[in-house]
Amino acid sequence: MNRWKSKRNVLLPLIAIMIIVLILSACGKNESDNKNEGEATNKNNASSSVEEGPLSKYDPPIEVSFVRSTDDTLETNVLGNLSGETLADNRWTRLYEESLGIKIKYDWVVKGTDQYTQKLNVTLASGELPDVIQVDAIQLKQLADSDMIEDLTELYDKYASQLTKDTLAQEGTAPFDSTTIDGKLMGLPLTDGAIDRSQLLWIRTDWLEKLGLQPPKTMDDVLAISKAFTESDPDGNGKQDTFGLGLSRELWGGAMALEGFMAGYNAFPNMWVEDASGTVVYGGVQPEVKKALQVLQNMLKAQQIEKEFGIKDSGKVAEQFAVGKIGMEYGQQWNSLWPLQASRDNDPNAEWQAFPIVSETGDGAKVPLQSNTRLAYAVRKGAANPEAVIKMYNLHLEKNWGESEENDKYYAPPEAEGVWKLSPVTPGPAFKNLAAFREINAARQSGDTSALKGEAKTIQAKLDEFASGSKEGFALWGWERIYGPASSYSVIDQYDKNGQFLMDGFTTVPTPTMIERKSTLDKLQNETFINIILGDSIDSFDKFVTDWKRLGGDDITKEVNDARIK
Amino acid sequence: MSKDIATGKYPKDSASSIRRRIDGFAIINGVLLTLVSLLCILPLIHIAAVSFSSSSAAAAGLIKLWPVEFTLKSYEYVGGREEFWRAMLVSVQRIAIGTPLNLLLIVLVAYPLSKESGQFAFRSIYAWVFFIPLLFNGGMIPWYITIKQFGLLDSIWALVLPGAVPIFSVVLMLNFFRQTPKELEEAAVMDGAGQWTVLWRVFIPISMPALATLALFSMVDNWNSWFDGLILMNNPMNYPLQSYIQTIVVQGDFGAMTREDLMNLSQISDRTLKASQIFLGTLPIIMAYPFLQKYFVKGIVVGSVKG
Repeated sequence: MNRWKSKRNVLLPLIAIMIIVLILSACGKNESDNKNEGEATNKNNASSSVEEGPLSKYDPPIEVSFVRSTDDTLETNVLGNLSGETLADNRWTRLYEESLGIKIKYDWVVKGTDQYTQKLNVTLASGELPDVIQVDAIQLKQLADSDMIEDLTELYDKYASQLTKDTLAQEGTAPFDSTTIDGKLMGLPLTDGAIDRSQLLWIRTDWLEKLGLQPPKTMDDVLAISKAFTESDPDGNGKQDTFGLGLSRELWGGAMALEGFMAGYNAFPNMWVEDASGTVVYGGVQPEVKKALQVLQNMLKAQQIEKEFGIKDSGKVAEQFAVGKIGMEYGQQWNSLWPLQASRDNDPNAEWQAFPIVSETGDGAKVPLQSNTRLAYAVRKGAANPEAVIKMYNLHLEKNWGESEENDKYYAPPEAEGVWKLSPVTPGPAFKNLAAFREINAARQSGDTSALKGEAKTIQAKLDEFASGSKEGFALWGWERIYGPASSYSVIDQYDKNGQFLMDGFTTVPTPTMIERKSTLDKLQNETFINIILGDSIDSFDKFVTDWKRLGGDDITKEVNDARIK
Repeated sequence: MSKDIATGKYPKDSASSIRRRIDGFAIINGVLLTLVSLLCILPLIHIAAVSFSSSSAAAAGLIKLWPVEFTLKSYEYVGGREEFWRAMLVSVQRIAIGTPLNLLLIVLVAYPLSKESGQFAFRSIYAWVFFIPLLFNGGMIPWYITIKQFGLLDSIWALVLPGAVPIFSVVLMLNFFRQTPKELEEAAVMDGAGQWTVLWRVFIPISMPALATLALFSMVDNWNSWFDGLILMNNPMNYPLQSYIQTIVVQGDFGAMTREDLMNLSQISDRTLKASQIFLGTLPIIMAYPFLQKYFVKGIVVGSVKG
């Protein structure tokens, strides 16, 4: 009796659930069938209106759906300053509609890039794709593998304007390598200049002067400056409470990073470099890294690096810059805007300058560069007008950098900088910032800045404002440090002229083992490096190398080399 | 001290040793609880202190538990920040709809399930239907697709309906109903009351402490959840407050930032501003607590049945 009862108790609900599931799945299927039919008819209707030419207009107008993220800059600086424009209806959406007959529709908008990734992953998994999607390399690969996006190879040849083709090819084939899968162009790369991410050495020059030191020529100079900044009391408060080198637990990237320091010892972690035999090897497991780690460990022992760096993210380390406790850091061209601006806000005498990274010998150090094209636009399989996004690329580039440019209106008008972000697609020339610096610099030397136009003009206005010494100008110090005479771009300009850049040896789509293991390996690497700097035996590096190879590194190396031979 | 002649013991002493033992327990208890409550309250005080400080002091990390260079600037800015108040409104809406709905459904589910199988046929089947989802769930993607197929995306209902029956609270309520003396129900039935009357006139009034607790759970849950808002809303205009706060607090990836963003980082979206919004976002739910607290202390069942 009891047994029967308990059995019944289990069985009945199970049956009930199965029935419910069946009913639900049947409903779902019907709906998607209907939808497919609808799409098919859509496609037939729309295809009649396709016309030739990179900038030809659709008549009647078509609708293209996107998804996008927004941010503080857009909400506060751009839309906050422009009356009558919204994310859905603004100068860019109007331009696309008037010139190309493309109506922009956003299926959803989300705030923040992390949030965008999360929401996009859910959207992709649910299979409800918009016509055009901005994706990263891994998402692109997954979409291509599951046959959810269009092959753009022929469309790109046919519809891309000369300007678009030239602009996207500025950095060679690397941007396209990252979106070409099995020989097919599956996404339009969102090119982002690699040289804008060059590593520089930012030093507090007022401390240098105070201690009677010269800018560094070799790594030994860097170490000497670090020692002096730590021990010679550069802030003059009678206590040894300053640090030579600022470093955060993220180790790599934009600010308080290690790439530039390691490059001084010919070590290139996170990159793939060619060895003597012509094969490509992973920089993070080479003996040069071990040497650089040993130096860093010694610096931490000598209190030139803060002991807590292993638990401080860059936001937290930025506080140390703000209170004027750190005198040097490796980072990118924008570091003067953040975190260094805060150091100046608190102490108007603080002065920072970007210097070229240096090598052990004093010869020009190799500056590691990775392709910065991490995003691409993919087109949903079955979209009515898969070429529309290419035309939008054409128009975006034309209006900002082409012959009919209205850069003042569409790129960086002084009252609403960042207005270009309102466009759903945002390609740009990889060298535009360096080009702007060169224009500004030439104008500065000739003494006539009135002929500047576009972004260069907007930047020059900032430099003038800073030079005027006004209160508003004070906050523009960071821009002067980027584009002024002794600025970060003057260093990058030198890098470029001296041919110091060392490009990453791997630019193609992530390999299968990379997709599976890279994040684990990266984590292992970063933990090992932090622990060594904090005082672990330097020999643990050898163990890391063995582990790295065993846990997938060898497979990845093989895949990377195979991909190159093709 | 003199020995008690009759017993040969030190009565006073043994009594005081018991008291001392209690005192020892009370002290340890008090210290531990104080520490735990400090852990809860200190971050909040710190955030409040940051929100009332100058932004340069905040950027330099000088603030501990008391404002440095007191200013109301960040509150003035938040006061004019439309997004914040709009998000606050969505959250208030969510609680206004969600909490009454939660309570109603909890009671309606828990009451029949609290009956014996003899009184309520197929009780265990229904119980299983509710308990299985407590242990297993479909995962995020099916959850998202379901809500999408119901056409709820981007509306307040997407935040309220999927969590309308909090099973865990149903279990609590069910057990509370079961502990209620049977005599109360029997007496009401004797007087001619049906199930509805028994539920609303007998069970609900004596369940106020449990309902208040569950109301608090429901409010806190509704107020604090941010992930569903982020995934289910298609427009930041519809974010509830905590989703909005998540977007301002989470630091973006520097690799993806433009220089305009970085300018912002060192100027507008600074720490004091974030702190003031977090603090303002926490206040309402803290203030709700005292109003519910009076229900917690009242034990109504006590003394209702005389044996």
